Amino acid sequence: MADHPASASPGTTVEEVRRERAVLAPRWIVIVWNDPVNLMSYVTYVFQKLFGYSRPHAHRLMLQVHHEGRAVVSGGTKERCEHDVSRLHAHGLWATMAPE
Amino acid sequence: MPPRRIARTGDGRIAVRLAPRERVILGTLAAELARETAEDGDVGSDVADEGLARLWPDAVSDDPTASAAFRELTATDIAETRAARFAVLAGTIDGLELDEAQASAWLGAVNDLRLVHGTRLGVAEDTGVAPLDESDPAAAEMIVFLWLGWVEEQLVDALAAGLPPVAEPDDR
Repeated sequence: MADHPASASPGTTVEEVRRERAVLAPRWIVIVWNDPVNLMSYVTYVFQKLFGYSRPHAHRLMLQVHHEGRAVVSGGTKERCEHDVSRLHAHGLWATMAPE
Repeated sequence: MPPRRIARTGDGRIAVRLAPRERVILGTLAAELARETAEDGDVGSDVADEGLARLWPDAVSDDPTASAAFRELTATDIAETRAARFAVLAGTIDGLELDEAQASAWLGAVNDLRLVHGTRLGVAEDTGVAPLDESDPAAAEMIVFLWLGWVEEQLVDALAAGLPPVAEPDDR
C-alpha cells in the first residue's frame, strides 16, 4: 500500500495526490528549434535516447523541427520540463520551455 | 565520402579506426575547446564569443529573467557534463575500441566542437553541399568542420544501433 503524505487527508493515496497536483499545476511544453549546425541524424538520436521515443517517432519530430522550424518534444510539470530542457541543452540542442 | 571508420562491433563495443593524424586533430581541437569553456566562467548571454555562446541557449523564449534563473540552476551541472566528456575523449583518443559510455562522451564532445566551430564559421543549412571556394581564407576551417560532421555521423550511427527497440505506435 502506498504511503500517505503528511499533508493529505487519511485515505488519500499518493496516486490521488499526484493526479490532483497534475490538474492544479499549469502544464508546460518543451520546444526544440531548428538550427543550421546540428546534424539531422544526431537530433533524431538525442530524441530517442533522452525520451525513449521509437526511431520513426523521433525521426518525425526531427523533420518537424527541420521543416517547420520547431516542434514540441515533451510536456508536463514545470519541473519536468526544466529537467528536459537542461538535458537537451547538455546535448547541444536549442530547446526552450513555455506554459502551454 | 571516405569509408566508415567508426562502427559497432559484434560484442557491443564501438571500433574506432581513425588514423593517428586524425586522432591528433580531434584531440587537439577538443583540448582547445575544453580549455576555452573552462576558462570562460561566463555562461549564456554573458559569453562574448558567439561560438561559445551557442553552448548556452536561452531556456525560456522571450523571457531573459527566467532564462537567467534557469541558467543559474543548471549551468554548473551542464558545464561539468561537458568537461567530463572532454576528459573521456582526451583519455581515450588513442583507443581502438570504446565502450558505450566512452563513445557517448566522444559524440557529445564532437557535437560541441561542431556547434562552436560551425557558429564561428556562420554555417547555413546548405553548407557542405556546394563545392568549397579554395581562395576563401576560412576554407581550411570549413574542411575541419565538415570532417567533424563525418566523424559525428558515424558515432551517431554506431550508438543509435545500440539503443533498445521501442514499439510503435507511440504518438506521445
